[in-house]
Amino acid sequence: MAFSLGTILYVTLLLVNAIAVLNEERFLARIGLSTQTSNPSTYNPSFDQSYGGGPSGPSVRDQLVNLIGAVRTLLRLPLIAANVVVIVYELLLG
Amino acid sequence: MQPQQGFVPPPTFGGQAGGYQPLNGAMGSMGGMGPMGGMSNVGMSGMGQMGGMGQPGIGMQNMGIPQTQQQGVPGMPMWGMNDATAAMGMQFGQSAMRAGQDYIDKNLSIHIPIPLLRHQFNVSNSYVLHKLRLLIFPWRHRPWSRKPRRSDSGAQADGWQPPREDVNAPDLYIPSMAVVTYILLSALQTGLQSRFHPEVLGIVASKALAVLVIEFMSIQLGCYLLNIQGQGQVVDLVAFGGYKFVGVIFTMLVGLLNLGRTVYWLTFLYAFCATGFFLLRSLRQVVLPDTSASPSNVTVTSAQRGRRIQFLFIIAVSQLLYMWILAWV
Repeated sequence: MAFSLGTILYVTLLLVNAIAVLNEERFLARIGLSTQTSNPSTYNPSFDQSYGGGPSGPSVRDQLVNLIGAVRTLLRLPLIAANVVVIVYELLLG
Repeated sequence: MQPQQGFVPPPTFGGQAGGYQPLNGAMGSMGGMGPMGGMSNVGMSGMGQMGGMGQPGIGMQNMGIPQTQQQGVPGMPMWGMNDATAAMGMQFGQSAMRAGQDYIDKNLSIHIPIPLLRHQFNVSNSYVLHKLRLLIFPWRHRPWSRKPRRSDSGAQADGWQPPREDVNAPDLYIPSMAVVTYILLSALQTGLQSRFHPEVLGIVASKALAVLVIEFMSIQLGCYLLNIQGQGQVVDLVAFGGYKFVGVIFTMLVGLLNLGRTVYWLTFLYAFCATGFFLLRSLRQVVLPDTSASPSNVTVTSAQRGRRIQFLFIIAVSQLLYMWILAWV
């Protein structure tokens, strides 16, 4: 059976890798998802639960920009470690 | 260097000067390194003397560790420093372990909300029967709104009624039991087709968990993108994701009766529709909070509302995919 927790793990890892390799200047700025171009008042890097941001709240695009920025900055080192572990595992036992 | 060396062991150190001696030798061996070494030697020995005025032993031990660290000479035999270093290391390790323990305790209680879980398992027999009937036949049920729990003072609402009191409240008892039943039932099905193997149990359990994880993560992502917030929402989402197993079990039980493929697929479609309808109605409470009844004071604009209804519809329709994956053993 191909559909199992291990598959989910790999798919998640690959997807997070895909988000992490998106280039800020070459790709994200071109499709309008860069953190630099967004309005700095709606961009809040501190992601706490009380983040209301006014009556209507941030839009989907702002949330997506936040998510990509967070993944790119926060998950870089953990991703390196996770990729190394998976590669070694695949080389030894896969 | 020589006058400075003579300055280092002051007479106040007395008996403890023996512990200081090897360090002194180390300093002496590095004495020819230039003006920097000499400078640090002067400063440290002066500080050591200052510490030695009040409490000679403690001052010396405390001074010893920064000196060894600053010198940074690996493999230098400083036997006199070992006790102090070990004590310092022990103390540091203990404080680090205590900090780690506190961190784990704090984060465990954040990530696994024990009171919420207790609230979710607060079920009764009538609730379980009523809820199962609701999952199989959700069409005539009304109303779908959950009852807010009123505090003793009266109007102020905090949280929701437990499942024991309110049939619309999500629980975790039915989903957890349904997952176990699903695993055992699929093992029975493979056994009836005489292709049972002990690995089937693990494979099916892994598949069920994977479906739950995928659905939970996609709903969580959608909630994040649409900025949907609520209290105890994560546990509720896990619970709502687990209710589809009831429909899958219903389908599999019908499939065990060997009534033919048409009946099986019609049952599957019916179970999908029932689960989708149920989720559409139940998740509406999470996604579109009713401002009059819900305790959270979240206002939703009309544009957000339309997008959230689309999101809700996508969740309901995606049950077809999940249930197809689950029913196909």
